Amino acid sequence: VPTVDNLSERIEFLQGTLEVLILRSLALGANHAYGISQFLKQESDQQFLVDNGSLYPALQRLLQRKWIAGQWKTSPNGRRARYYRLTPAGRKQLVVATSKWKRFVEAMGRVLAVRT
Amino acid sequence: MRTWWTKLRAAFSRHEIDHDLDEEIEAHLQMEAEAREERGMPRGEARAAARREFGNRTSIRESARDAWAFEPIETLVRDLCYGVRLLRRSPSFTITAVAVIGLGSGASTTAFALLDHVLVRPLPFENPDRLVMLYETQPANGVPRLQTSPPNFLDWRSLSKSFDAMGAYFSILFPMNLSGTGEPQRVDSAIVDSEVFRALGARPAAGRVFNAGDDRVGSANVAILSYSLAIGLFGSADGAVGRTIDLDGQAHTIVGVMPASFAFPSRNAQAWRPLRFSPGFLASRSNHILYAVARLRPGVSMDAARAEMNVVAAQLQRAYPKDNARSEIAVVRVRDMMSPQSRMLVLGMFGGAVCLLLIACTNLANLLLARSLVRSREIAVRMAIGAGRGRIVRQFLAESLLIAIAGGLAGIALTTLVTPLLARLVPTALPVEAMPAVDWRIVGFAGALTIAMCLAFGVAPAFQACRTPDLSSLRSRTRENRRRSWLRGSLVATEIAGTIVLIVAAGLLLKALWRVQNVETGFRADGVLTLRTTLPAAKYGTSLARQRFYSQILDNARALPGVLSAGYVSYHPLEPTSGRLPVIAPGFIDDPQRAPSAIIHFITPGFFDTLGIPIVRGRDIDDRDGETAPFAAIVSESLAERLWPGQDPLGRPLRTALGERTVVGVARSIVVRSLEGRRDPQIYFPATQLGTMSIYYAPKDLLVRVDGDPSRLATALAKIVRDVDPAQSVADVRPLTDVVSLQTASRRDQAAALGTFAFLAALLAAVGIYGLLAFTVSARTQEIGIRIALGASRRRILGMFLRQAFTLGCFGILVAIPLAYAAARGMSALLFGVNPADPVIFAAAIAVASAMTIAGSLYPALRAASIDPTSTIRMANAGG
Repeated sequence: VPTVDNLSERIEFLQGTLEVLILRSLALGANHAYGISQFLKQESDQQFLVDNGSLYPALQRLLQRKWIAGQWKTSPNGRRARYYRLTPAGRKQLVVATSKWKRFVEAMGRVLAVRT
Repeated sequence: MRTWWTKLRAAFSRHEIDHDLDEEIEAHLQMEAEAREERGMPRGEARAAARREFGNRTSIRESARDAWAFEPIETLVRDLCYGVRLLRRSPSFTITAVAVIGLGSGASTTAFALLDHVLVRPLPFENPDRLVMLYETQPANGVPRLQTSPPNFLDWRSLSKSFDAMGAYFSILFPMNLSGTGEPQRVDSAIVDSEVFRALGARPAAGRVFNAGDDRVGSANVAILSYSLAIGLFGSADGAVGRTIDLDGQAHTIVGVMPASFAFPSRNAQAWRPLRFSPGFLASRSNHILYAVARLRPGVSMDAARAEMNVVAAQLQRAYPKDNARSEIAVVRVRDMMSPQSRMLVLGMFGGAVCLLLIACTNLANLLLARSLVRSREIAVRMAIGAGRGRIVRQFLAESLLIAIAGGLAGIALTTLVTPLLARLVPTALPVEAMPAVDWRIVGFAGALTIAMCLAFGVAPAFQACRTPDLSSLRSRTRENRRRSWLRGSLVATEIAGTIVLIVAAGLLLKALWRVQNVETGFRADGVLTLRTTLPAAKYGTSLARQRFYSQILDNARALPGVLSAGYVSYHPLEPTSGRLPVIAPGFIDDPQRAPSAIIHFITPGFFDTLGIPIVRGRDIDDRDGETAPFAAIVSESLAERLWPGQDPLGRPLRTALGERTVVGVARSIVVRSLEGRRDPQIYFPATQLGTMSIYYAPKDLLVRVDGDPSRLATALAKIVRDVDPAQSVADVRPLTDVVSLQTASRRDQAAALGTFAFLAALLAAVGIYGLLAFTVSARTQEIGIRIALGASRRRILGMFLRQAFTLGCFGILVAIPLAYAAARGMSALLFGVNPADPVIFAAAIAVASAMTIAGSLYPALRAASIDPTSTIRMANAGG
């Protein structure tokens, strides 16, 4: 299959993707906004550019749905930061979303792999 | 639902959320900066890089916060508040804009109210689409719709199966004296049979409608009153039922009261009496006096009903060839009874209003476009600090919405004020109330109009505004400007075109009005007072009784100071309900189906003198023509020409349904029923020779010619009538000139309405041109200054701007001419023979449009020419 994708160009988020990724990152433990964006950048091998203009509204939406909760804490290097953690509802949502995404990715891959 | 609740709670802790966000972002920035410092970046640089990397802090904070907002509503409220502040800062702009929209929407809402009332809204009857009128027609004689005779009507009813109910009623209202309840008063009563109410599906407001028992000959006298009459006489509808009133000297029991909305056969009906088919009434098949209204049986189509009535007509033709040989039957929906002129009148008004509205919107769009350009710096700043394109567009739309809403409210207020003036544009032929009511439909229309206008004049400037993404585009303005001025220019050209169309329409209507007003009536109306005394048949059944009444009144009237002459006649000229009968001239025209119809007048001596109608041959009616003298007739020149072309009519016999008579004189023809309708010939009989059958024709209109102002005689004449018969009502006291001018009242109203539209349109277009050029001049001040400094003459600058106006004017005129001609052709039914392409009116419209273009452009052009180069260049330096 010929590839025309420019590898230096970062992948844009699909609608709703960012929220799942945030939930996933918090499954490892509570984190603050900066930490979440760093985590996503690293784990995606620099493919995801986390735009703060999307990250902050997404966090607010998750707060509204009570999937995450925020709490002011002091970071290991003594800085006060707002730490987000998954709520039980958020954990459940992560399971649902993960299996949905897996099915989606599989289906996409299968369709795109069809030989013409 | 839960999110909604969370948001609602959040709305009250907005401050806390803001504070948290601020602190969180601050922490984020510091962590980012520290990470960079760790990688060896100097502290200050690290901090700046972190800021850059983070993005637009305000915008991110806002969008995060927006997640908590009831976004559409909150933004709208914010936009509206901002809009209000902005509009308050420029009150002259705001007032102009609101006034322009108010005028436009008021005019079109009013026109819509009329259109809706007359053309759209279902008639106030049950299932109005199933309601039809049945007419006799004689296409071979060129008579389109005729009343039918009582025996024919009964045959229609018994031979047809297509109708649930078929009712008969008299085509005219009968004025009756109502006495026994205070001052005697005139009441216009309709005579209808019980089937009329069944066909219409009409229900009373109190009591009952007529039933089959009321139709029976010889049953008790009963009457139904209109709502207003019942209220006037007895204070309430319920209180009227069961009471007895005295109509023309006979007691009638009130069995019911109709609701105020019931306007059948016309809205002038104040009372209804039962129609009874007595043997005498059924005597003649040529007595065309009844109209028929019927309701189609469910499942029967119009076509099926027409087909059946054709069969019925053919049967009657065979059975009664003498009277029915050429008679056919027409079935017409009640809704379609209106004349094409009335329809055009309403459509014309609406068209004019829409034209005006478009011009208003165009003008406002132009104003807003100019403003958006002025505000481009502000917008560039707002976009630079992070406002999205959507926000800017929404902001602009919110502003136009504010203007549109204020204008819409002003328009509704205007409509409420103006609608009552439109009563005369509602055709009397239609059984609806006189005035369209301003109700939720009208307000709904105004609302929809407001939103449409908001989009129409708001969208273009809104998108124009965000075509200026940053300040750098302000520097290279030329190309941008050219596209804008093209848009603005075409808007102005459209206004000019619309104005010309309106001026042409109004001009043609004015010319038609002038023509109608100058119709040669054949009689002299000035100085004549008329009043109506309808003599009740019971009291004045004999010729002797009537003659006594007439001679007493006329003698006393002639004795009044200043009175030159006086006479009585069946109906004064221009009375549309005067009777018409075929006239046979033995030996010349014997076939009654070919006989010309003439308007019948019974007159007393003095009639011709009073109206100034010359007797061209023979003699006037005089004392020789007593009750027992040979039956005499005076014919109009037009009738003589039809009956005995080229022959001397004097002494010749003629025959009508009212007997055989001999022509003793020929009178100059006059216009009888209406100024615009067909020209019927006239025939005059002496009042003494009326007989008993035709009491309908008994003279009832007194005409008095006075030296000076006729109105001053009103009270004296009323007193004379009262002295002769205290129970006799006096109605319609007015100068004959009022009767004549009433003929053109609806035309005058329409011409005035369209004239007003045209005037406003011209004004708006001039403002539009002025606005466009004034704006261009101020935008190009520096350029002009440089041109002048480089040696361009002031005349050249003046010419440059005048040429721009001239081009716009030419475009407008070119577009307008075909449009105006199409509009004029469309309303040719209203033009009374005026050529729709009347060159004078077109030339005048173009001249007015040109004058307005010049007027609008002169001042800005002169200002451009008087620009002082040094000061503008200095200004540019200071500004730059």
